Amino acid sequence: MPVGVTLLLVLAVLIYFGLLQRILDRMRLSDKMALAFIGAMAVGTFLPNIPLGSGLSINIGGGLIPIGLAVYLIATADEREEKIRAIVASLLTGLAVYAGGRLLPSEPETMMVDPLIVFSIFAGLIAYIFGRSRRGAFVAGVMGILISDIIYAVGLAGQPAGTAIGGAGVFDAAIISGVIGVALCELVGETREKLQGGTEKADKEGDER
Amino acid sequence: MKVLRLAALLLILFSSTLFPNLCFAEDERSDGYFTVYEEKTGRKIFATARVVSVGDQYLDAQNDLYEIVRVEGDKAYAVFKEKVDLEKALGEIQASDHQSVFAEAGKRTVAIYHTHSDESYVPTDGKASIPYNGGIFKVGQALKKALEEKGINVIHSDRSHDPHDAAAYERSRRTAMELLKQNPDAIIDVHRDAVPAEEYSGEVNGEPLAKVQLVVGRQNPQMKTINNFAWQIKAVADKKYPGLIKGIFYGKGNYNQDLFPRTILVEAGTYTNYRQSAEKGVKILADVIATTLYGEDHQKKATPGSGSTTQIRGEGGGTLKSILGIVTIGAAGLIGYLLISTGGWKELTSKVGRFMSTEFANFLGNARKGKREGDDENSRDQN
Repeated sequence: MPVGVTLLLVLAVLIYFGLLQRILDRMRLSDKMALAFIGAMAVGTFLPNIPLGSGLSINIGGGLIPIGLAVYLIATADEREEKIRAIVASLLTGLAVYAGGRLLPSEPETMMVDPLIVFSIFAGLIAYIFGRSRRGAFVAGVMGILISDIIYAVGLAGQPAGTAIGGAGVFDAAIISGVIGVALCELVGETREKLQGGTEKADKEGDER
Repeated sequence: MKVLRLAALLLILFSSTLFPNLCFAEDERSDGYFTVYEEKTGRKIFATARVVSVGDQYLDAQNDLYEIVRVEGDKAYAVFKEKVDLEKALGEIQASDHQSVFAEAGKRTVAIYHTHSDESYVPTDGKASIPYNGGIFKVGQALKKALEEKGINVIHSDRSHDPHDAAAYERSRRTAMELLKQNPDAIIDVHRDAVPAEEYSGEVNGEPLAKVQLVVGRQNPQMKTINNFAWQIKAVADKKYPGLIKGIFYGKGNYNQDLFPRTILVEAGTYTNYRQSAEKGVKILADVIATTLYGEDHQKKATPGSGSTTQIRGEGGGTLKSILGIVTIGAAGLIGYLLISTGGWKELTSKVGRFMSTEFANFLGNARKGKREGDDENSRDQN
């Protein structure tokens, strides 16, 4: 591959990974843990998919590891309420993504933005409204796409449609949804804070790191 | 509060149904298509089943570039923008020496898949849409065979991405990624259009066939690079097989073209063509793709051990623009976010300064310690 094109790919990947690292960082994972997860996702992307039967398979980097991370985030949530909210938000996101897939027009050019991003924004919004936390948004983003895959796979849309869960690895809709979910959380949360007149600076410095 | 949240959710779901052309979700758009006319003269430029919107562009067979300025019902109006000189735009024709850097023939790989796996050809297949196993797979097979005859290794994915709905590209994204793991030189998503047959009826060297249209997604940071690839394919086709390529459509969407710089969406004829004529079209396209990727004399046995493809002309310039674009957007996004999340410019700069001094403390620690005083000033200057 020519140098320029390789450079372009590397740059895009670097920016994306940088964003991913910041996002994970926001969820009280330590810097090193966040990096370890990204590394595992990146490597896992290129490992063969694990077949699950009935046309379904799962990618390690785009499916197994993010799901594990989501489960870990639910398990370590402080309050019972937060856990329940994350799970409910996941279910709702899954249903909304599935419904969106069926209702939205089939050609991407009809929409303002590409379906991939529309689903992620869907997931992010619902996750933000119900999850009310960055962790909740990430969990709902990842699990929402997974749940919609399962709905398709069991054949609610007619014949069962097989797919590789998280098959596009780090670039799969599942992870992109999680990232956009948290980013929306940040943006909406921070903007609202601003409109409300802001909190004390000391508070914000606290979550800078 | 709970009621409010539920209301918000319902609002989101409701607003999602307000997107136009909702009823097309399930079916092939065989019942309608857009015709695009020139704004001033009223002359028909092209027709497409893809949804057109203001800002979309179309490069026609004669390399005239049009931009759509108005959409009214099934009609759209476009203005002439410029005549694109493909050869010139792609830079000087490189010496043939450059093009003779080949890999071993066996290492050359092209990947083919079908996002809309139900697409079929009415006169041959009986229906416009055959779920899970459309006639489009046979067209992909014809392309595969023709490429293999040129000594190119072809991976043709037989995975279906049904139903034909908004999530189809999300599912086919996974297939594309799987194909990319096998390190192809190019990856092609083969579709068919849904406009009347005459739109695609053509002939190359006196042989009747279904023409081919390329589609480039505008919502993609790599659009310049993908566009260059499309131009290159058209330039080769115009030279070797004039009449083969109907045009290039630049639509909203991404079509998974962000995954790899040499990705292209191909419309092989339309649903009212005989499938055999679409197959004829892609057989010729195979030679065009081989020439684009591996140079004029791609049939020759290559020297072992060298790079896998030739540098595609113009690739460098497009790439540089894409890189600059990504950096600019990235920086603008970051500054915008920081401005919102901090109080304003003053707080932002001091925060960035503090961030730099803590985040890079490990390896810049000693160097910075000495001039801690000037730190804030420095970071303020940089921003």
